[in-house]
Amino acid sequence: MDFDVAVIGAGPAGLQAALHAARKKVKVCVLGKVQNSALLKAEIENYFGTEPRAGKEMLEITAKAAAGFGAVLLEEDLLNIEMEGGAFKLKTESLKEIMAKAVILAPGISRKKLNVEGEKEYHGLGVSYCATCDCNFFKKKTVAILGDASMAASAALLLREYASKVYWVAKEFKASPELMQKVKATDIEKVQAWPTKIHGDQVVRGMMLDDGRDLTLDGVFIELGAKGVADLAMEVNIFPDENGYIAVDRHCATDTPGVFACGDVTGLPWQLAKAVGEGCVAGLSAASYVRKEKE
Amino acid sequence: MAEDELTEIRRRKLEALMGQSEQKGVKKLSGVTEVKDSTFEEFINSAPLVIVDCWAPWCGPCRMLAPIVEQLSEEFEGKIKFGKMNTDENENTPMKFNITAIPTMLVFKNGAQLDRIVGAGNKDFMRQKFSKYL
Repeated sequence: MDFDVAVIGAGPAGLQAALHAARKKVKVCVLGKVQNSALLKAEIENYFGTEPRAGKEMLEITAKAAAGFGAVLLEEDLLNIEMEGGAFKLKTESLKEIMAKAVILAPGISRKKLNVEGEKEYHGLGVSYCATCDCNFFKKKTVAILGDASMAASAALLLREYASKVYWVAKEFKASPELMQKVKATDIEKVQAWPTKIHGDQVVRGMMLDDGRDLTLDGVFIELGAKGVADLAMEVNIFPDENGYIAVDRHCATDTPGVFACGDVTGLPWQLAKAVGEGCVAGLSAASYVRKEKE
Repeated sequence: MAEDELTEIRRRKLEALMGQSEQKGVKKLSGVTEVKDSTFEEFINSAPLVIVDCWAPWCGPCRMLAPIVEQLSEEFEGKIKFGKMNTDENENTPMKFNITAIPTMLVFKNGAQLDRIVGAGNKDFMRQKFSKYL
């Protein structure tokens, strides 16, 4: 599947970016799920020209409008981005491959934290946040992957090629059907529980669960929810700043040509008005970038 | 996924990353010494303050950190000696120091381990980290 602009994130910034890019007659797709937007459960009382209104309604209207201008809303999560020459190859959780000439990062800021005793203490001593980077250290070892979505399933499948035993620990298992099928075909053990403590000595030795079990482990991979901002940014050669934000100029362009960012991910304030404003700028900038590329 | 398939993916990923580095104008690293299992002990004892960047070719954050460490090695010249070790080619040292995530930087003072830095950050962040060892 080929698109001019791929938008990562289906919140207010991402949908607004998609709408404005699509109005400029470039081919746009949106990756991400509207239901994951922080706006979904919010009641908005500080937005231009509206009386207090449900965020859910605003998302639905804008999603419909973006689609009306031709944007394709895929309603699925991104697994990874690879840079190929000046273009971007995106792999989705249903294992689709999408080529795009420009990318708009609008993933929001993840509010999901593990906050379990031992997580920080054992970071780099058994606790990892990057399966691709660190799988090689767990050859013939026992590991657990924490997380409920496709990123966790994908990490579990990768780790299974290295480790002798893989647990996938989650409260719910919500990966794409394609990945669930792949997991089912392996001996990855699904454990429906959540950790209360990661423990060890010099390195990780195990993890206590809220169902009373104590898994004996050499490693714990943390893959909560959709792809994290740092992970996403580094795949397109961007280091987030010390607060985890992505730096942009006034055109919402990042330091990597063809990569734009908008919304909460560029920094405070985390307000709808700012997300929507930046979404507009990023969408127009990306469309303009692609059009210049065409000429 | 078969082992040869994984090797092929890594090879392609590495080629792509190398291509990106060239496009971004990243020069070949020179201020950072390549360290191997066999030269590790000698290297960490070769200066009062030594930092070894443990990395691997398929690790995106490691590839991004490399040019930053190179630039900072010039800034800290005479104060901190920098080395880098490919953990894919050298397994003994990472095992000895319980390295399970990369990038990890091992910090040595007079040959003894002083600290470790796990993960990568931008140039300002890394400069701040390194400065506290002076």
